[in-house]
Amino acid sequence: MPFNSIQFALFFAVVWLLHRSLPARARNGFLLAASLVFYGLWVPAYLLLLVADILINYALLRVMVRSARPRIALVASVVVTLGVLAGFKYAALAIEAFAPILRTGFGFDPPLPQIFLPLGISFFSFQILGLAIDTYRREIDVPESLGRYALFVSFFPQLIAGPILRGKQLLPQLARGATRSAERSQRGLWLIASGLAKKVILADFLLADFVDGVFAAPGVGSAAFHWVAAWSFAFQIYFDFSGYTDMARGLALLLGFELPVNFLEPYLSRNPAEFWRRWHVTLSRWLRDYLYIPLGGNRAGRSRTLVNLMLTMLLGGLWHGAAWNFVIWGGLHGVLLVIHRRFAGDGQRQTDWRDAPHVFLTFNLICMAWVFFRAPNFEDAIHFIAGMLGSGPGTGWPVLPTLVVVGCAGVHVLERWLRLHGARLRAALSRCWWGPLLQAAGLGAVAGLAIAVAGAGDQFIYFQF
Amino acid sequence: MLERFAKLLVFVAFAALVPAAVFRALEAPEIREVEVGLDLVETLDARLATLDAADRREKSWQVGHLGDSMVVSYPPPRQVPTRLQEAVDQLVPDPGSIRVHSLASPGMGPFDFYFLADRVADARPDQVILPINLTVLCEAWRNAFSRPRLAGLLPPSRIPEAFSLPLERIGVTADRLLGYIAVVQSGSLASWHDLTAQQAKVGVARSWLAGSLSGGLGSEAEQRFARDVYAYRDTRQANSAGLPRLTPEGVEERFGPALGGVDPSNPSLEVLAASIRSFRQHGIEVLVYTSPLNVEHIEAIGSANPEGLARTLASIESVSRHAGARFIDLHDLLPDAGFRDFAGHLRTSKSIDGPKRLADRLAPIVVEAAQHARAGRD
Repeated sequence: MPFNSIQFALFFAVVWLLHRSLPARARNGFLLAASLVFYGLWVPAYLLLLVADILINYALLRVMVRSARPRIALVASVVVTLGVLAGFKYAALAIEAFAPILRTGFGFDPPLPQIFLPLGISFFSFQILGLAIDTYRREIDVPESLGRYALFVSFFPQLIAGPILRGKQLLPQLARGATRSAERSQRGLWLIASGLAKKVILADFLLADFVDGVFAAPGVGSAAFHWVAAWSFAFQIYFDFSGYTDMARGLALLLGFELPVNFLEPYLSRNPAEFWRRWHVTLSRWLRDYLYIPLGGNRAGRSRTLVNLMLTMLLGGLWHGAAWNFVIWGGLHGVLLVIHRRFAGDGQRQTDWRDAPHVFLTFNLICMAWVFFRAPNFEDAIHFIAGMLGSGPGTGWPVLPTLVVVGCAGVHVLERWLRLHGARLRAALSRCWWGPLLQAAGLGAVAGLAIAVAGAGDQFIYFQF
Repeated sequence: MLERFAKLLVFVAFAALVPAAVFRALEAPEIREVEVGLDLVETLDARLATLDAADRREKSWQVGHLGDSMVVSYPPPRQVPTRLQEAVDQLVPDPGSIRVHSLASPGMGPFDFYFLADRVADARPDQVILPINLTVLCEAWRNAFSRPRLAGLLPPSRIPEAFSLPLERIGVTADRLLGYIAVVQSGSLASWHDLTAQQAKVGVARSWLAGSLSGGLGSEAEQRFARDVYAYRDTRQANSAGLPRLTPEGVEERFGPALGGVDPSNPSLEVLAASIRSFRQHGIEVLVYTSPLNVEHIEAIGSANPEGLARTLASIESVSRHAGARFIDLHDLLPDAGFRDFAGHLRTSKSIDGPKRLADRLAPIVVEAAQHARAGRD
């Protein structure tokens, strides 16, 4: 159920009302049941996969804390979790890669499996792995009950597209139980409204159509069309994913739980390193803590650091999808990070207008990398890049899409302002008699617009990962 | 309490007023109507009413021919069901004892057959004909023409069976299946249709706005780009030397999986089997055939894979027969000259009439089924 669907609105209304009315001790159990129903309402058969993943990994966690050789349980957990992920997500890519060898060497033409990816498998697999590694490192205690562990993995607001939670972020909250307050509810509703607006109005309605058109015919339009399409896609994927995350955080707040921030206005970054501290923050931190640092991080000399960076970004790219496009996208970001690390410092001060040239350059480099992410294959991506360089026969400038991109940039800057000053604004609104009514009207208008433009598309881009 | 009530009231008012205002704005004459998947229900119901009335009035053998544009994208006298009626009438001593009704519509494929099976069965045809266009085995093409909302037409008794089918491949996830069926069962199909039609018009409004803005600012770049993209897609898929024919890239895009060889576990074939079973449960005879494919041209451009195609055809036959249907393979019925365009539609000229040739092959099977059933009754 996408969060921007009528079905989900009904589902959440029922869950929210029942969750409020149940006694505190029954609430987590109820949320677990609701989360499993939520997952089962996608493809019922895949609920078994999620449950099996939970049961096996919880058993391995228990073994890990009791065993004298916990490493074996950790390895088993990693093998099981990555095995399931690889089986569903990467089997076709692996077969495709080895098919020429099998064909020429053994005369065997392997059929490509047509696998329908279980929803959110990359997200909950990483969450399971993170907790297993934290437990092995003795950084966190194993959840006391299977139910709490199961809810940690399957908590429905974040189950299918993150944020990717760490044990210490959610397990203590689950142990304490839901904590509600007027401030949390108000913040939650703001997040839901802004997420819905970003996803439905900006990503789906205003941006997607133009992006689809230009990417369907790479190299046909003028250079301006290609650049505006690349910028549009950058904003489309950002508003799509961050809109989903905002809604996830808002829904969790209404249920009494706080989820971590996943985006910090990434396109205002001054360099690639800063971008990765602001884009999909929970994935970046996961890759840093469980991959980059165990590989040696920046402690093993300059060249090894650069290798570690490249490796982390290549695997990060592969996490996004079983296609070479994603590997290339990850590799390009790896190259950007390596170049940046080799030649530039990493200023930590707050961005201001003096940084505009750096922000503009970084944004455009990131947009060029996005081309490989969005194009259906490598050949189309190359045609698109050539189109950006003016190889196409077309002329002219796409007027409305350019205005939309400029508007999106304005929204992005506004997001920064709201993140810094939103709490004060909300408090000020609460003090006026008309403030709450204005907020209700805003939320209603966004919900109404979401209904009106729902035909433009209701699938979240990041669901496919 | 009062404040909460006021907030709720304001929320509901805005949530209702905003879409109402948007839809009102869409009534502007510049915003044209667009077709939505649910339109099919209305046209199909009208044809089913004719079929049902004929069944009540006559003692004839009623045949419903479902299918896609390969069946109906010709002038009415040359559509496959019409040609089939003519061919059948020539084979029986009492013309009119077998009635062929067209239930086909562009883009209709196995998933639609399944969603519509019970509705079609209510009109009591004696036999249905289900053509399989090999493009339905290709995920992108299948999804491009899918009408997921038709899942709402499934009767609630089919829900457990539907959960076991790969309907999610065209976006019919369990929540949508239940939601769509609930909407239809509550008698809100017409309102739902109106809402989806209005939502679809929002997209038209966006395009109109883009065009107006470009024109208003003195640039026609976007319209020109749209024309260029259209031409690009055509040249990418087809060459236009002589008859427009698919390029190797176009063949791969449309028929890649079918030529590569698919197994009976292909989602479209699983759903085809379920459709056949649905019809058979209602006592309706089912005839499945593979739509003609331009084999000659595919071989000429070096895209043929006879072993893979044979495997695909064997899978379709096996799935059809196991589910209780008759099967005839007509994929190689026509030479290159029998095809009108790169999409594989049939030529309807005097020298070569594709729909007629197709009908001539189907007619004996239809007649045999009718005679067999009559013999059983007598």
